[in-house]
Amino acid sequence: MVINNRMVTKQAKTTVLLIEDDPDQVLLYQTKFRLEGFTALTAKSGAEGIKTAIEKRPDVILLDILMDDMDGLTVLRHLKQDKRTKAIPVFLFTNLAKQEVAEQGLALGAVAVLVKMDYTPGMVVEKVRAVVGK
Amino acid sequence: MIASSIVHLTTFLVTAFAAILLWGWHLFDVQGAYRIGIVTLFTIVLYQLLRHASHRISADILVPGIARKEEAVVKVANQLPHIIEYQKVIDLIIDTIKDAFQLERTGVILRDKEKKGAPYRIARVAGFNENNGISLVRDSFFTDHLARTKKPLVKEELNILQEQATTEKDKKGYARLLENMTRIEAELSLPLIGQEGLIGIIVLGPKISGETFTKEEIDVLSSLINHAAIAIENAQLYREVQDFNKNLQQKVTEQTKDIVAKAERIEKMARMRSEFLDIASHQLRTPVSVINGTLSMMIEGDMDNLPKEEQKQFINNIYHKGLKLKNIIEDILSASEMDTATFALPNLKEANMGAIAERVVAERQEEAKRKKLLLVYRKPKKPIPNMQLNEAYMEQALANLVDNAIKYSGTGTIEVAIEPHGKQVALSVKDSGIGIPKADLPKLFRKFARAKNAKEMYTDGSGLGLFIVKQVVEAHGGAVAVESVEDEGSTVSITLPAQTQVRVAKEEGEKKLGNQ
Repeated sequence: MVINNRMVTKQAKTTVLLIEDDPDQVLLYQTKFRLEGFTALTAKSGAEGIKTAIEKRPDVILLDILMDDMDGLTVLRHLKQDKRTKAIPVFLFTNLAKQEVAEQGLALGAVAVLVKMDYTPGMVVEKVRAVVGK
Repeated sequence: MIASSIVHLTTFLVTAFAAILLWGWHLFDVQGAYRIGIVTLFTIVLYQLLRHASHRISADILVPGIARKEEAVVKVANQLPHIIEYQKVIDLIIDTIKDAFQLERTGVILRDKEKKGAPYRIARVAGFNENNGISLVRDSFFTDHLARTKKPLVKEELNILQEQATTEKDKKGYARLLENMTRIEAELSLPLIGQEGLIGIIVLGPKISGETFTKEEIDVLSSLINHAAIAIENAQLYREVQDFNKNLQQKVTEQTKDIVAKAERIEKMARMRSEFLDIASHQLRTPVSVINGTLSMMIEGDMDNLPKEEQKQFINNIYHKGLKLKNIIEDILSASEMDTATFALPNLKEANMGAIAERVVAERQEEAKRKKLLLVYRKPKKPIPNMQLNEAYMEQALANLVDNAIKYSGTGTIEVAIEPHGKQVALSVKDSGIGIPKADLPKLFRKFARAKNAKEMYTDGSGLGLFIVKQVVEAHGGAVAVESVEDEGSTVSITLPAQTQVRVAKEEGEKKLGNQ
């Protein structure tokens, strides 16, 4: 695993949007992405996530599934239906390891379903890098 | 009457003929004594022949009905065994008798085996008033008489029976019967005798012609009622079988419904379980992912690049998540332990509810602050007596209540109060949260049950919290109640007997607590 947290390039930073309602997790992943040279945007609900995605056009989205206002799959459906956001790669990022939810997510156009417990923040960053190519 | 006049006429004719012979013989000059002997003999023979003939004439020609009646009755008797529908049997009997005998009215009264008090009911009447028919059988003297004699009872006969009666009671009974039959204009009562005695009575009114019933007619009717009784009994049996079938069908339908309901319940339970497993696994994974995620960043050196304040925040977070993990593990373990029908408490020790409540509140101050809620512990005005408690369970139960109040409140105050009340200790947790919808209140304390608005507000509740509260409180001999208005808040109240009567785990055995 190559961690290069001092690498802050002159070129535009990759923007990641975290749609997550648990503040502890927001702090954890936001910090990690920031340290890895990303611009980390956060949204603490599904509705806010859709709004931010449309307004800020992040390069990649990490989307939680179990949220209080709207479940992640619904958010994903919205993102993929909107032509302003449908090209943005979305990772479903959850601890809800249900086969059918994963299948549904992939069918809706998610890049991958990551079970949070199985990935350290460093591994998540790597996964994201592999997709956005930066 | 006509028949007897024919017989009289025959006698007259034979006598006249004998007189002519006696006179005529005179012309042939036969010996007087012989003459008289021969004529007498001849007269006797002729009389017998003529008398017999005259009876036949009177039966077949002058009273032509009896043959036709006999024929009709035989026909019915042949038909009856083939009819199984109850009402058709009754109709056939009534119609045949009424038509064949040209009666003004007939009726069938039947005994209902099931009914104890007033067992007779009208099966069918034609011409009779129903009330009149029933008034007849209300007199048990009448039914007893028919059951005993098993013979048709003619109204006229009652005069004789009354005279012959030996007891005053019988005399009165027959007089009353005569009066009754006269009043309702019944001429003849025919008992229907089945295997269990009198099963019913056919009551006949007078003939349209006004004539009385002859001996022959009564004989014909007697044979008919034997067939009728059998047919009615068969029809009753058939109906019972049909009713039984219907009942059976109904039972099958009911039980099918039962089974379907049970299956649905099991299915629902299974769905709730799997939902619980999803949620529980999510709840177990989440703190682990935060704890491990943070630790991995520490190992990888990320934390060194963060200001002290932020580092502290991370450490706080992992501690917080560790506590959460502890709670969910305890909930799951407790709930599965409490799954047995009568959950018994291990490890009872003298403890103070007030102290437990105070501690639970103190431990949750930070969480409440994070949600900008005011969490208060109202100190009791009177001291709370020590009780025999399983402290860990009781603490878990109170923690669940306070956690719920924090979880499901947007703003406001959460108040935990405790006071001794006579022989009880009452504790309450009051919040100004989302409340509980009325529809969800009854199932609130069931395992995996979650109120609709709770699911909407907070997706990963396990539905175990209140189940555990109830189990713990009840195992301590107490009771739990909830009052709630949706959108206004909830108050959960626990009452515990100060001298606890608890279910004790087996290993605690005979030490049976109770008083302290």
